[in-house]
Amino acid sequence: MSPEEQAKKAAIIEFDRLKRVGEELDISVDLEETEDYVILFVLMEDRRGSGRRLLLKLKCDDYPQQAPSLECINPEAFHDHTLRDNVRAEFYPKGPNMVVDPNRSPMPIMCIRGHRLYYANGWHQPPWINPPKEQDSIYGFVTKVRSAFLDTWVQKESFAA
Amino acid sequence: MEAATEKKSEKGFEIVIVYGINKDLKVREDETLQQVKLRALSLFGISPSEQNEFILRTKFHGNDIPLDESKTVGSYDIHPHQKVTLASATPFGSR
Repeated sequence: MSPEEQAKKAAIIEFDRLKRVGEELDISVDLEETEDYVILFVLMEDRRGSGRRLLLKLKCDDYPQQAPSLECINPEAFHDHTLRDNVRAEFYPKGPNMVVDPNRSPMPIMCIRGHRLYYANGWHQPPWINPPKEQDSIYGFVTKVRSAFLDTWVQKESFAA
Repeated sequence: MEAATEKKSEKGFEIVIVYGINKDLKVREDETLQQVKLRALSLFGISPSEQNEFILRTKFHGNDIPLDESKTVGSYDIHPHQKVTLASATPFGSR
């Protein structure tokens, strides 16, 4: 099996784990497959009334050799695939665990372990390890983001999308 | 209702731990949620040394909340077969 196929297989395992518990977690997941890697889309929605939504785009090239890269994209893109490159700062949460640092990224950065930019240039220690600890796997990362989404970002109304 | 009450007697009752897949876990009303979490971690082969990196969450009337680990199962209105999610904790403050 080629490294690309191994990466795809590892990411698809994480996708399946998320999909199996989507109903319990109030998330929807989708997968896009390219020749060399897969991209996972995870849509979170606050069903307690605010209706706030967050759509994560996780590019899993070389996973788990490296952490997936994260973008927050237009929540409408979950269903409208033409919007899947629609990345804007307004689609990112604001508040705790979010950092704006143009020297590192033109988009806000989520300070939560488990995505590529978190570890870039030695920004955080310990570095990403392969295989990742369970809580840093894609599944673990999504549950961390979900907790932040429900308990903090939505509560504080610090969410633009 | 009587049957449900009996299931929540001192013999304990089963809840469903959600972590990628669902697994049953028998709990007692007098157990703390921390004890439940440790047993849930064990159920999924996660070391107890990792306990601070996980939380338990569940839904009450559709409202998904984190469970306070110092409280007991009985202090929450957790019913038999209720789904309780084992989730990674968010390291707020880490930059």
